[in-house]
Amino acid sequence: MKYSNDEPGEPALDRRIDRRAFLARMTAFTAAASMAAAAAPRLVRTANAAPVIDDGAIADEVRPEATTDLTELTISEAAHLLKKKKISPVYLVQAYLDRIHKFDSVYKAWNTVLEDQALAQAQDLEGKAHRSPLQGIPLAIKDNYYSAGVPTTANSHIFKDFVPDYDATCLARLKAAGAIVLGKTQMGPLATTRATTPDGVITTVNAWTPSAPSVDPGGSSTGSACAVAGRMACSSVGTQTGGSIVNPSNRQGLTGLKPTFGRNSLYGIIPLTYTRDHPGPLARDAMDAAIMLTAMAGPDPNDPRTMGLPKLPNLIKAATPLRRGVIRFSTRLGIIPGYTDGSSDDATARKAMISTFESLGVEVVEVKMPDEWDLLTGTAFNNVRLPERTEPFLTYLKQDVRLFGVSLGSWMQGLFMSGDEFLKGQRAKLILLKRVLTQLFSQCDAVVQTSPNPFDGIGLPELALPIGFGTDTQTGLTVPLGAIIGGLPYAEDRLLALAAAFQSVTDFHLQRPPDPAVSAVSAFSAQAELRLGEDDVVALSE
Amino acid sequence: MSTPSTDELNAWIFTRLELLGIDISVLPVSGSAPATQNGILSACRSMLTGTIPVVSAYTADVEANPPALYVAPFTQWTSGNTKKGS
Repeated sequence: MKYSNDEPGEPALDRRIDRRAFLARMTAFTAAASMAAAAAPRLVRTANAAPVIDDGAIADEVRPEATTDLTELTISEAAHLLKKKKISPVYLVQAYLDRIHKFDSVYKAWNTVLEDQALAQAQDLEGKAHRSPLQGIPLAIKDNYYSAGVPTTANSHIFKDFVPDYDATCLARLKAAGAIVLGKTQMGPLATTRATTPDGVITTVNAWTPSAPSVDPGGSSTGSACAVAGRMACSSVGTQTGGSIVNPSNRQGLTGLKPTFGRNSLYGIIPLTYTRDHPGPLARDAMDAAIMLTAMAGPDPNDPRTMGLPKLPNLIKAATPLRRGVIRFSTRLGIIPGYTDGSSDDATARKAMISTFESLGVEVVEVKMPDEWDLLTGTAFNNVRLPERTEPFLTYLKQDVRLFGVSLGSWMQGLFMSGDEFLKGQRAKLILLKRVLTQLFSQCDAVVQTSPNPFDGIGLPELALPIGFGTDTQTGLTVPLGAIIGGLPYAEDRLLALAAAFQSVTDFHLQRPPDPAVSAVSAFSAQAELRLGEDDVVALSE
Repeated sequence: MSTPSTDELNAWIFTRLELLGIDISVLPVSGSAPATQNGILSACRSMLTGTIPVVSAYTADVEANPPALYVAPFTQWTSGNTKKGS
């Protein structure tokens, strides 16, 4: 038989596929996945050209209260003042440093403050053309992001002396956009719980209740959240494996965005659970979250999990309502069973949030959960993540288990799941995702969540936004209340549009905690040390 | 089959750790230290008796559901959509 377009010498398919790029990526990934202390050389350096951020991100005007206190500014507002040269980068950085000096002895949000470096970087920007909404914006960076020349400890004994020689890709991109790193923030040891020392002593407080360290400040990105809520940074980044962007955002009145898995590179971030670690912003409002994610996101040859995915939509446009009170995208918001049951502060705030969304033109629909939801999102299948944390840290477990401090328990648990059980868990994730897509998202376009874990496990995006205030039941203190909304894969634009429309008619996101009184400093200092025990950490671990 | 006793589970845990070369005898047996032998044994027994039976008993259609580590990107990698960001 003869084919019409036969050409002599045409090679077989296996020689027509160019695998050089793939192999280069894999080589780089191998290096990236090596643990920090192994100091494996990096074989591919990411070219981090300055990300393009739509100028629509720059506010048209600035709230009066933000012009009298620069630490009140959102990124969008600060960009307005910086672009018009009404403030200087040095002046802005110094305003935040002043608050750090004044209040961080109470908040305990920072591991490292890079005062000289931040001021020098701000000085370099003086008089330069304004090229990006992030230019000159002071940020707080969670201490599990590699930072060139800066200690990166993850609050763990393992990394206490670790100083990387390069930046995590997400951090490099923020810096390429002109952002200024004020320092590295406190976190749960290896990103497991609220921020503590490696041995479990509580450090960072909830910025709304500085005199009561027992009040939950959220998960392991606690320091980043507190730095922004306490107005010690304009915005911040964290990581989420089991709620640690959305939970601290909810607890401290912020807008947090955990993007879809793969949207942001994990290159240069100390791993906790490599299939569900998500870098993302903890910001003041939807627009700021959009600005941050636009800078951070995109394919990275050093992390092949970011490749072959949909292009980032224009998040700035998404976070801009068509007009005040009018959402950009027609949206059905799913309400899960029991979401507004009862008379608690949370239930009351959730009901009000739903009414507000309805007034914005959002179609609110009650949804049924997918088959086997409770089983596939319960503790047992959530624990399938644990071998992932054990495997890359096995060397350290063999070296000395005490290196893990109070966090040891879940690393040891991961040793007791067999390969067949782990694989079954990976099948179960796919089953759950299929059902979420076909059964849940057939009813709605976005859905409220009461726990971040299910969507963390299958890598779907979640946005946290403030929806009111309530009373902490243990202390009687006033605390922010928040909601979590989940979306389809790579649908961060819809989540931002929902939050932006909501924030165009509410002001919960504009409320800031009062400055800690001097008495709070002495009261906190006088208190007995609060600790998380090993059982607490196993139960709370992300 | 009878349910393994705590002593039997502990023996299995210690054996596995010894095979791997992980030594928890450096930890105090109990008390308020950040990590203790008893605390670790309790966490591992909980994994063996609480998590493993539930996961192990689950049945899935293995043809329709291949194991997938990264399920959200998997939806795109298998979508046939060639208009990607990279």
